[in-house]
Amino acid sequence: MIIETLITVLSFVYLFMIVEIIFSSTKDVMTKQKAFEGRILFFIYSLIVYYKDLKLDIFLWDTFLNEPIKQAYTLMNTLLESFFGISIAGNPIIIFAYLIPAGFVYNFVKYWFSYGFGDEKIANMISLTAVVMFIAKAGNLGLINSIVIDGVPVSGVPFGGFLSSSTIFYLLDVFPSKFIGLDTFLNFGFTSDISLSILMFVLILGAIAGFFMISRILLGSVFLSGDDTKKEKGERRIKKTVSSVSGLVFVAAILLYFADKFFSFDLASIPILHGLALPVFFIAGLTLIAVVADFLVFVAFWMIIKDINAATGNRLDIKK
Amino acid sequence: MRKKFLIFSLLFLFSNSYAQTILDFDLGEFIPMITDNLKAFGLVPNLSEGCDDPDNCNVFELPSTRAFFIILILFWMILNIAVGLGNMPSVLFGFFITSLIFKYLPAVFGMDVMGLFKFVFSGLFIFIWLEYIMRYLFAFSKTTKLFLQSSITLIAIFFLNAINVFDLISNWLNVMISGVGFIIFIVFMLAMRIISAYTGLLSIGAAKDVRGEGSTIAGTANSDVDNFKEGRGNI
Repeated sequence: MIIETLITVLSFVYLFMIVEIIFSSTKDVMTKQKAFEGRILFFIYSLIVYYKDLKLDIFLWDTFLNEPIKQAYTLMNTLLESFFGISIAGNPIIIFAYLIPAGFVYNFVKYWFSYGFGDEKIANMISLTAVVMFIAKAGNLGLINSIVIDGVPVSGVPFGGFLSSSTIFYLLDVFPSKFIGLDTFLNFGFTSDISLSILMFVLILGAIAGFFMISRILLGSVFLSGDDTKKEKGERRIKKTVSSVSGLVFVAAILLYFADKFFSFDLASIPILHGLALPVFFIAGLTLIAVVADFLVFVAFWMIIKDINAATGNRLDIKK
Repeated sequence: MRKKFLIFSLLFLFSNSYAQTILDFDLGEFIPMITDNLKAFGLVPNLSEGCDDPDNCNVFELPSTRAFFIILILFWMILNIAVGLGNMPSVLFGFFITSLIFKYLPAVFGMDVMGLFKFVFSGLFIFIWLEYIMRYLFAFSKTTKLFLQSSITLIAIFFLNAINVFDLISNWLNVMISGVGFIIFIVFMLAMRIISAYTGLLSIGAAKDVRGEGSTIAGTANSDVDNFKEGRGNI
């Protein structure tokens, strides 16, 4: 009863999160950029869980994260089927071709117009017109639709072709096989060998990547709500928690090293560690992308806005 | 309000879970039951009725579905901008109103929906644009501004073929979305930001001058300046 209750509650929470992610994109600069990356990461993870039936064979993880995510998508599917007669089960084309692009067009145009004109009404009108044009052109995003990745045209794609069903599932299918191929070629032994040095490397990399990415996921989650003071407090708490957790992982890696070296403790006997290398490297890759994106946002937006603010006596804050 | 909402949603979630586990209540059967009733009443549209083959049909490709969403956005725009409802309430009310029209006045969706949208958009846009321009006319009272706005909008619509406004903006958005125009768009927006910051500061100065001590004429200027100070205004 308790587990079912928790799963149902989490399903609804995840459903709200997924819907919110679909309909919100770049809303603010820098502070929310990290939250946005975390949301996108969670969204990609939830798509993989639902469409690829992901299971990690870790009881708590599967029960309280993967199962509610699957149920949330099932619930969304039921709602869409009974409301509009469309199904997303086994076919993510509705999400990728219609919902995300429409949300992206609306938010992108609204953001730039409220930034340029400082008038919410005008920004709202123009962004709604952009959505109408998007619908009238049968979901065509112009230049973005002509982007082709590996011979596959990515239709109905926001974010320059990155977040498309073809790209994500392509990466998901190809990345592990390419990684295993690279590993075999260079003879590192990340995927076959479970030697101590490799495990140490994986754990430390995991701690560093986790420090960057987990904070983003938490920032984009439901924990940050309420007024600005509460958000600031929440942000500080998240930073503290994440740094202590990744610190603990770091210490655990060193302790495991000593345990293996001096107390004849066999690290390979821990079953979870066998499958750790691939997810850690995947997350590390995403971390790299996120850090580069942060840097670009910092250069492109933050400096310009700071200049304008300084020129106008710091009176114009960045608006949502 | 927030706490009450949280308590009610938690109660709903727990009762739902209780019903599912103890009473064998299936949400997958319950939701279609409600939506069928809503569809019969007309509060939810039956979009798939235009399909030739109901089993293998993408409703998003039907012209009636596109017309439905365009009318929905039109109501959303009117309720949000002209009436001043929040984003979510205007979406919800717009959805219900459009569904009712879809059920009881289907002829609306057979006509030139884009033409209707262009007409309403142009009128509303000119009205809002005039409001944006007239922020700087501090010596005018609110009623005078409203009178000027409405009369200029009516003249533009009925005598000056103002539907061109929509074509102008949509052409511009087309260029922006599809090609090199994207860079021009970003540069233009940055320039507009600087211009609006400059004119905003000028208008603050003008407002302060007009306010003066003992001034009674600048009611709107007072509220504008107060809004700006509290971070609510758009000056």
